[in-house]
Amino acid sequence: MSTVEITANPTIDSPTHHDEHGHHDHHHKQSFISKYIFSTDHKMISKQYLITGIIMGCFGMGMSLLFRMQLAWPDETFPLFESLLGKWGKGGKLDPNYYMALVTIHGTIMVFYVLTAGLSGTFSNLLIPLQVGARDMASPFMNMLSYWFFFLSSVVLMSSFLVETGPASSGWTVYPPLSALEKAMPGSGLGTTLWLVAIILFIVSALLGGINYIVTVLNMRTKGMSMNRLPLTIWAFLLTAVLGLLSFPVLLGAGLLLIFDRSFGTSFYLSDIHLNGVGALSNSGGSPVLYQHLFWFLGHPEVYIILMPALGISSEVISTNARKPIFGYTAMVISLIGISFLSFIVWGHHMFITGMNPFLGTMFMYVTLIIAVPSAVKTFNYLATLWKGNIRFTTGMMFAIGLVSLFISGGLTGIYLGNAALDIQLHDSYFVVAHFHLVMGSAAIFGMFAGIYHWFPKMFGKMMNKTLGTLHFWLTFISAYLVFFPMHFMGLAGVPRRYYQFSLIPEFDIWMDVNVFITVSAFLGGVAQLLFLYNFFNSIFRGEKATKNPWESNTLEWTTPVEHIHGNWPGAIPTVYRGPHEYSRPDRESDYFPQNDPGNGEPEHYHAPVPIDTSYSGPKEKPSKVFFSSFAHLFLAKKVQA
Amino acid sequence: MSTNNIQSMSTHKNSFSEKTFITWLFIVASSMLFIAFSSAYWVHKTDGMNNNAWLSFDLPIQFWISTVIVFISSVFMQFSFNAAKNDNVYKIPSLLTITLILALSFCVSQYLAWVEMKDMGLFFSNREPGEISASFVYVLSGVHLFHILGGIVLIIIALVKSTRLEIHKKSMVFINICKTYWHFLGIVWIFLILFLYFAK
Ligand code: HEM
Ligand SMILES: [Cu+2]
Repeated sequence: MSTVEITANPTIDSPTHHDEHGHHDHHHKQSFISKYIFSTDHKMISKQYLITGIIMGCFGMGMSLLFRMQLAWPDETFPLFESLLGKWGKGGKLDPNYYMALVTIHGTIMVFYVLTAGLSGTFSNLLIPLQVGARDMASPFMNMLSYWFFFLSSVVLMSSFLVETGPASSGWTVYPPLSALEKAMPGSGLGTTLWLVAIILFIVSALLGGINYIVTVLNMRTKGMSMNRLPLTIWAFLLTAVLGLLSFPVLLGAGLLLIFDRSFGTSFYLSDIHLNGVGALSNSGGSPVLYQHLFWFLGHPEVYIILMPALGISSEVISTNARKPIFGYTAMVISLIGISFLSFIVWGHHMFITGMNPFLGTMFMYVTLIIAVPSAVKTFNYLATLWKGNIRFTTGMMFAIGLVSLFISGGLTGIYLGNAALDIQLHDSYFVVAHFHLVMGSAAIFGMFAGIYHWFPKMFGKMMNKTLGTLHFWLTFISAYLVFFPMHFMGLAGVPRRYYQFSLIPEFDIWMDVNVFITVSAFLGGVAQLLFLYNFFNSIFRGEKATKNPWESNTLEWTTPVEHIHGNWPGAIPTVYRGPHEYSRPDRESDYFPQNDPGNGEPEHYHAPVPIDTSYSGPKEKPSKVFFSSFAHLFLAKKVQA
Repeated sequence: MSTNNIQSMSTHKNSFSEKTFITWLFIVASSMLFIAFSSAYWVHKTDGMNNNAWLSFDLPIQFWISTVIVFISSVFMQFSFNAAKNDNVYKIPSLLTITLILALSFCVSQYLAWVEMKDMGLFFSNREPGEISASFVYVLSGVHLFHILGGIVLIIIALVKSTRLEIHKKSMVFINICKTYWHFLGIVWIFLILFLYFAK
């Protein structure tokens, strides 16, 4: 048969194509490389994303522990610094520039590499085809490229630790002029160049992935899977991908202008700058605020790119384990759409004190506060779903409930920060650090853990250890609050973020005990993650074998065999008869009702339609002949002889 | 059985292929890039005018010549597409070749426009604060040209396919993608030149 490129309508061609494969399981042997490395199977790509995300997470967390040590014991010397960081930790003291580098890369890793790629990449890849009933992504090849761009990007970012002048140090937002002038600080040199290259690769990866997710959800659902029967995970992944599609190109634009300023002598972001010992720079006419606008046009949607998949995952996990339909499915979808829309018009709340017109600031304030409405809808719906539920405290469920808790406590402070007037005091203080770590950092990480524990059986065919999981949950939950809650009070008192040492300033020195407390709690959290790592990798190899539907869930992914096969379902793709949340229906004996269960009717089967013939039926010629004769046909109006 | 199933399935599937859909999403993404740059330009201009630091200059004539070229190339792209739709397969390669030549002339004309700007004393890196307007013109036209290079690759692939008789009435996906993308680039250029003309 013809190749996909020249089929008139691959939409309806590909299922048949795959059906043929599906019928004889593990048909052809794949080489190690095509199975594990350059795999185009969405389930394998999902695992690749997850493992890479976990590794990056370890780096990110490790960095936070290092700079927390500096904050807690600024006068101590730690030989550890010298052995790990070499010249940046001479005599066991952390170099101030390197402190900034660690904070910057920590933020970058956590935001982009762990919670965007690691979270969205893993679960969109795993769940979109499985839950909508598709054989694979719309373009498995693009999907593979997406992962490898991400991988390359991770390598480039981490390689900036190996360069002489250290990694980028101007914060995860890489504001100019620090990021635009190579001489501004050590990290502004090669380190920032590598950061920019890494982010551009990352953007390419995110776009390739996101485009695929959107097309797969909108175009490749199985029979009966109407939009209002989609699991909330899929809604969340879809809207996340749309946000990425619209906002990442803007970051690309911001980055390109920054690269031009750095290396080609333009002045988009630069003006009137005097650099120590260098004198006034020739750059003039630009504005660093322009960068901030472009950056935060991505930056704010980005926090929802991080959060929404976690919210979607929690919806599924909570509904399944509360054995109840999710409360207000439509309201959940509408609030996701509302959040997505609003997220594009609120970016100014990150810039209240850049001297923006107060009228504009007020507008940004109003739209920001309106986000509280859909967020509250979601929270109440989670609580209402849990209410009187027949709750099964699986580890995934505990993390999902943990997400709800963190989302509330972190979300409330957002209302304070959204006030243009209050923000004058709170901006760039530890209050901000507390806010975003709870609502975005911890909540999304909890959603990610919920997803890992819940879908581990689907990914690896094994169960994770529940005792270790419970311990992991409680330690992580407690340490998250112990670390980030006290930061609110520091911030209210005016302690600024991104400072290397507080003991030299009397007003801030009084917080030393709190800083020690936070650091000790952070180490507690670190130990908890070791439990997770052990549990995760040990279960892959030695875990108890999973059954097909261990959580007695309704959604389609649990109808596929435990052993992964190419094309997901051995026979026909199941047909869907109802929404995803029909748990504990009074008229049913069992407390769940899978989406593909026909109920009393006869099961219907999804028959892939007959592929359209796309071969050319006219007279055939050699390509060169076709080429030259085509000019004759055009200019001499020669007729084709049949 | 099967006809029935195709029908019931089409209520859940969009009628056009995934590849076309992917192209449209790509177009959305790159539109965002151009929107970002042109809003940056606009904001900068308003700021600059307030501080008497904005240089307005007339675009070099070559940019206008490019506009005509890109328009004609779109027309020929459409002819190629129509030839495929009407199964005039033996006309497609020549029409695509003309499109390709026009596309390459567009690149040359853009290059000459940059040379002309340089001769006018307007460089990519500005000397005076107000000359950022010129930097923006370079960026906008440069990023557009970069997209055009992608389009040229598509045209070349289509040309090769057409000589192998792989583009015809029953196999329109690829030429459709080419046509969509190329028209998009033409529209973007016309938008950019009008924007730069009216917001100079
Ligand atoms: C492992 C637990 C974590 C600890 C102990 C921790 C600690 C910190 C601290 C103390 C800072 C501020 C340092 C300073 O301003 O000088 C910081 C910055 C930051 N963290 Fe975390 N963090 C953790 C996890 C996360 C997570 C999960 C995220 C995901 C969103 C995250 C994202 C960020 C960001 C974006 C910054 C700002 C970086 C910058 O200022 O450029 N962190 N972290
Ligand atoms: Cu925001």
